[in-house]
Amino acid sequence: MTNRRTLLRQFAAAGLSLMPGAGLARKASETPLSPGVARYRSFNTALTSKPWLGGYRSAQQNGYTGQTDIRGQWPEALQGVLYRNGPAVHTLGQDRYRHWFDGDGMLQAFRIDGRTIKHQARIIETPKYQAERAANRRLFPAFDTAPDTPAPMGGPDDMNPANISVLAHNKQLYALWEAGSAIRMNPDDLSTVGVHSFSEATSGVPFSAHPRLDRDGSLWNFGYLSSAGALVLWHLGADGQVRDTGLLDVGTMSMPHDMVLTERYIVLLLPPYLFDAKRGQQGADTFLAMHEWRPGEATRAIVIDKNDLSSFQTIELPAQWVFHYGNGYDDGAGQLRFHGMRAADPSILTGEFRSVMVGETGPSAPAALYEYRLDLRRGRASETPVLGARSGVQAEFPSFDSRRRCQRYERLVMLTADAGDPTPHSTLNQLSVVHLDSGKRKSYSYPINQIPEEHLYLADNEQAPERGGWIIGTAYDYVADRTLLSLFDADRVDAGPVASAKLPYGLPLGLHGTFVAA
Amino acid sequence: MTDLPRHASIPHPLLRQGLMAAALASLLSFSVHARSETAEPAAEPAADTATGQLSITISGIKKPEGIIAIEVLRGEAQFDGEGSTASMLIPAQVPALNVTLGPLPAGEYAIRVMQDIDEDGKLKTNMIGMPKEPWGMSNNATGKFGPPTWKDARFALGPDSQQTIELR
Repeated sequence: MTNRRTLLRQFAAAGLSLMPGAGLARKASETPLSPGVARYRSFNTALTSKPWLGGYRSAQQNGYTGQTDIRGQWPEALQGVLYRNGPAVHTLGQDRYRHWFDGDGMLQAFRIDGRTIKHQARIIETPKYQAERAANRRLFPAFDTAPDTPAPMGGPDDMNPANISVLAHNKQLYALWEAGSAIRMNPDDLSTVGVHSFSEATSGVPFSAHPRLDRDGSLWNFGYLSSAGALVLWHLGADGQVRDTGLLDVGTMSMPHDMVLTERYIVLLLPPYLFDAKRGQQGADTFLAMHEWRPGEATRAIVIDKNDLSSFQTIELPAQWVFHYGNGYDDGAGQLRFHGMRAADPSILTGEFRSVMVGETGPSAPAALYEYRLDLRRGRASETPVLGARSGVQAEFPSFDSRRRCQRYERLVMLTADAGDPTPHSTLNQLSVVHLDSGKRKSYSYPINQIPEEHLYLADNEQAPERGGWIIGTAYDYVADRTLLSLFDADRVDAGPVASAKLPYGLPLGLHGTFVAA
Repeated sequence: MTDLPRHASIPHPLLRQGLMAAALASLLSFSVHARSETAEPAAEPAADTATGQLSITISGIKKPEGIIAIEVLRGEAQFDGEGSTASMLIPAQVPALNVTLGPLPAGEYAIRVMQDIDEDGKLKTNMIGMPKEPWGMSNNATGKFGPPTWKDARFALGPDSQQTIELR
């Protein structure tokens, strides 16, 4: 009999949070075409008739280097480097991954001096990628693809593709995944330094892809241990040293991607998309497939006092799925408020993000901008759509003025799509700035041949918070097969980009970035 | 909050007692007297007298440093931490070593191995219990998205059982 305590003890004795093993080995297929090769062929066939799929091609193994002039009015004061990360090596040989989030990460730098952009991209040399490239085949389980013959694993970092986001902190640069260590990168040439350990006790402990900076320059993050149903909390000082850690037994684990930070609290939503070990016996062969959507169960808001990482309060919300949050704050009236991109369910994970890998579009529940209020005293939560209940406006990739972090704020930058405005690629096609109190927004619609990626709000330190500033972001032009970088005046985003630059090549669509001012 | 210890240890009492010599002397022919057990009676053959030899190869030893600690666990109760049927300590040698045990009473077993590089008698772990020293389990079990379970690591002891465990 295995109860929770036993499980945790075993975990302590030999445990790993995300460690698929030999049990996953598939029997050699009778047919010569492996699933990975079948996906590779389907995708390439589809690519000939759907050029937007160019954003899901596998990156060049030796990366990219290019330079281009900026067109338009680039502000003199705005110089620095935009770093971006995302899954990029989708195919090894002719073996194509099943899921968009499987691919090995590629770190990019857009170095901006006001007149030109020097671009560089390098595949992140994780131990996983090095081993697989040397073997010329996939060796380790990915988020949603099981290799035919898996190699022995010692821990989650053996399968860490470092492919979700990039963090600049304490003058260091890290490529981040969700279930393993930060991978330290050289910010100057994008070479991979290696698996990073913040301290001996935290070595190998999962460090998620959306850490949040606090007002004092310290950094908060979480990690999750699916089989143990435990959350790890991190607090790093501005000097990069571990100040505090916590380990919370939350029972069953979801797949939290982002967190909320307020002046006093940390909030994580745990939607009822739950890791269930039993699914392994029922044929689930990947980490994603181990999760079960239970629409009849609550989403748990886990609220942790920053001063006490050993306990938490749970407040229940209806079943839903959220990847990303805006800012969070304590409103002074006993309520904790934040914004999130709320979807009815996580079907995008098993639908759209698998479909694009074989050149199709798949089902996905659209996400919309919601305001959440948690009343800690009464243990109640409420949620309100910011852009109107029936507007049908989809939204993702929120960004805000970092000078407002953990405080009340009024302006949120995001990608959006209007209801009834379908694009062939079924991704968001607008950049919007939403005034959170009024629900008014200003939007710029990218041309139909351009797929925008995450855009970041860059504060203008000469002005008051949330006044002026710029928005920077990339887009993939699938007709020209070029990636472009655009800059917007945050007050007048609807006027279109004030400056832009087009790289001499197209890049795989990525996920998250960060801007480091010169 | 969990009761997860900061440093979990694989118990190997011989090391704790400083009886290295005893451990080494007992390696070549390690006789074990089975304790009466309550766990998993159904999994055992009917004959109480059935016994078997167990040959264990530990491979993948990268550094000739510290001690290879081997625990032979009978039944799920021992796997879950209630004692062991045999535990051995062997100076690490590169790249592999062999031990043979027996006779052992028939039944279902698992083997847990670690390389105690700093010879502190503990499997060094991080704050969530993940090993930071080389380790391995019977069947080379790594578990599925979590720690290896009894089901992953168990094997039935035959007249001549062999297990090759690669440290990782």
